[in-house]
Amino acid sequence: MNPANYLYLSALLFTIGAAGVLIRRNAIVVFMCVELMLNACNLAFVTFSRLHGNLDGQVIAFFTMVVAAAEVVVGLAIIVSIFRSRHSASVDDANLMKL
Amino acid sequence: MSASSVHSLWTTAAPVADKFPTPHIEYAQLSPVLIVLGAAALGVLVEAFLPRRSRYTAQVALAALGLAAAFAAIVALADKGYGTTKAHIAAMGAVAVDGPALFLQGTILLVGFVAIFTFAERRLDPRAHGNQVDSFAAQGSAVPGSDQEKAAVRAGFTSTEVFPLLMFAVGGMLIFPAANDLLTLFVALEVFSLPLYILCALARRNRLMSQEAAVKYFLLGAFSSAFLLFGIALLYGYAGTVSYSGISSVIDGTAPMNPALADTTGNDALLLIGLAMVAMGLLFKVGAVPFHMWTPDVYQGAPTPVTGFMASATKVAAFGALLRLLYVVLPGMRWDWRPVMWGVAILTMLAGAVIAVTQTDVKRLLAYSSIAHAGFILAGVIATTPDGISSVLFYLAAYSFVTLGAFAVVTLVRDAGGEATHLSRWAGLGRRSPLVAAVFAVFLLAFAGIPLTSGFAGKFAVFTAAAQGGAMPLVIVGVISSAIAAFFYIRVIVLMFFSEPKPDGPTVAVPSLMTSTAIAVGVAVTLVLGLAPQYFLDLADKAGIFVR
Amino acid sequence: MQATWACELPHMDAILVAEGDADHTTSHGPNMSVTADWKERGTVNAYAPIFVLGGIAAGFAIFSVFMASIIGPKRYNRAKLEAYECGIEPTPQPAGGGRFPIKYYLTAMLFIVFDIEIVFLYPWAVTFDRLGMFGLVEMLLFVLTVFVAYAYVWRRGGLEWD
Repeated sequence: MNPANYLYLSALLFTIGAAGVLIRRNAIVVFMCVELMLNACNLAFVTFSRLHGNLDGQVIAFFTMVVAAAEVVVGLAIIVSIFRSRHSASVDDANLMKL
Repeated sequence: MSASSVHSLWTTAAPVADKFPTPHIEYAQLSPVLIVLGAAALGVLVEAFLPRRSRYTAQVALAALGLAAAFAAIVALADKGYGTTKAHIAAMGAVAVDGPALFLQGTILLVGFVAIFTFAERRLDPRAHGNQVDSFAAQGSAVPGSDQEKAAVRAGFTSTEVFPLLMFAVGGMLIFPAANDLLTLFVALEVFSLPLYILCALARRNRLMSQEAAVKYFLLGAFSSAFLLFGIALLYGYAGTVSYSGISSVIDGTAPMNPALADTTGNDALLLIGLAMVAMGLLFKVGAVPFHMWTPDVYQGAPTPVTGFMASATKVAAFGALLRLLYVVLPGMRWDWRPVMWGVAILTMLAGAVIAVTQTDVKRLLAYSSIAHAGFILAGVIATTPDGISSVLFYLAAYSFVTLGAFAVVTLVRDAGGEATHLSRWAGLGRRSPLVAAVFAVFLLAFAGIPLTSGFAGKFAVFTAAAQGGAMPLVIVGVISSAIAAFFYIRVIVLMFFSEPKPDGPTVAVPSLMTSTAIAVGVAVTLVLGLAPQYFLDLADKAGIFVR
Repeated sequence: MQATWACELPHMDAILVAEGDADHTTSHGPNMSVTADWKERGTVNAYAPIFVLGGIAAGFAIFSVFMASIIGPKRYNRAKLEAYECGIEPTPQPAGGGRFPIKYYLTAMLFIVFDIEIVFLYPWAVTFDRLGMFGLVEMLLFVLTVFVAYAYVWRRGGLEWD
């Protein structure tokens, strides 16, 4: 299979994630979309790694996974704390500081 | 058919590598980063094993000691000539040790050192049940207003974790401007961003606002770093490597091209889109328009000491990384990126200055002013001359201390609900406490770029460099938006000194030695860099050569 | 496209070429001879130790279960009726419907953080012998750093369920 197809898939996933971040209102879902974007990046990395025949991309994919895990932990901690104090995870409700 | 020939149908024998070239790590040259991160890890251990009442002292001492030791290491490295003649790339190509890196790392360490003083301030907030408290939540995980939180406040808990978090953030920021490949850039970005997200959520007062600021900062920050990462993936696809020098030699066409990879290597679409996305991620951290949306909300909601630290140190680190990316990786592309950066810089200067005029909250006002300043610094970045580098370095050093001092003053003006940040509450402050108002006026004048302050010296250097670099229209826009910005800085000064104080106005708390020191350092740096900038301009000039 | 990147990866050549000219005669020919080759060389010998090992393992398992039922004491208590190594007992129920108690979040997050560190251990384990002392020391430092976080979690009660 032509490896370029994986790149198309990765770009598609990235776009779906980005659109989800902009469209969805629930902070958790927004965050899941960000994770989707990161994983789309991973797909691009391993595809390019295969194309170029070097291992850099695969190593970067490892680092991305670790960073994504750290981000999940910090992000969910923040989202859970705001959910517990407001009983809502909608980003539209986060409006204490409108201009 | 023999066994070995059958085997070779679908496999090839891997070449037996006798030994990897063992990676060579220059620990001495990386020592500033290692010291800071080591102190941060020790801070976590302190948090784990020391009894609660002795943690505060231990953490403050450990953090201050770590930053001071790291700064000493920077000075020693610079003294040995790593900033100029011995500049080179350490840790197998991951980190550059050169003039700009050392200069910015030194600035970040000093900013972090002063920020520790504002973090450690314990006299401003009224005593809670007889315990001295700082501006951080008693227990970050407790729901605001719940019984659990009340119990934590009664017991006199404080979040001493802020000190290790600060140290981790500083550690990431040290690597960020020195990162010499895109992977290190990304990891450093996350290492300094994640602690900042948490720090934003830890305010003692106005906890709902603080949590909201953290959520916004986190979601937008994660969004932007995803863009950065995809940009890195595309650049990797373009060049087959993530090292800065590798990418730049592919751009220049000096790298040996593999004809089999012509579809990806040297594909300009990959390069341009990747470059745009990486720049997007960095401009977000810088707070440039149109990626500035998070700045006012986060600056307003975060605990004020954190805001001061974030506003100054993040800018230094992010501009350092942007400089290195544009000057080391993309000099061959400057005809492509300069027009875009022109647009971003003009938008940033004008939008920051114009929107700031309508603000009624001191912290939001300073946030928009920081956006405008990001635009001024971008003007220097666009110059693409050696003067451009050194003027940006100087501007960053000058600006970060002004910001830190200004936010430290904001922590002093208080009423029953905590800090009184609404501008109307600041009316007549000059009559009530002339000293604090005068100090704040100095910072505002420096922001406005009035002569004899560091702001003037910085702006002058940046605009001169931009003009010499052929960006005259940019300088004109910069001067116009400086004038607009000066209008609202002066308005605040007029409000403080020439209007009647309200009878129920806020009080000015008497800080301990900690915040006083921080503010004094801010004033001193502002005046010294304003009155005698030459020594520091020379220093920035000497430091202004990137290693490739 | 395929041809261009295939030649970049020499060790993949054999497979790709075979796929590319998917021609029944060329792809079946060698396979037939492979099976014949194995049979005539009596490769079963190579698997004998594995079968013996499997036999010993099975024998030990049967022996243990059988002996335990004969000589083991027979006492029944509550612990024996609970799930065995299949997670924790489901005591904290979702309150009010649908939501999980915060404890699950904490446990899951701790698991993820410590689990993901394995990502760095795998590549090291693969090249462990070739990296030598340097790799060992660096990896020990890395594990030590992770243990700092572990110590914090432990002292702060993150590992206690209630």
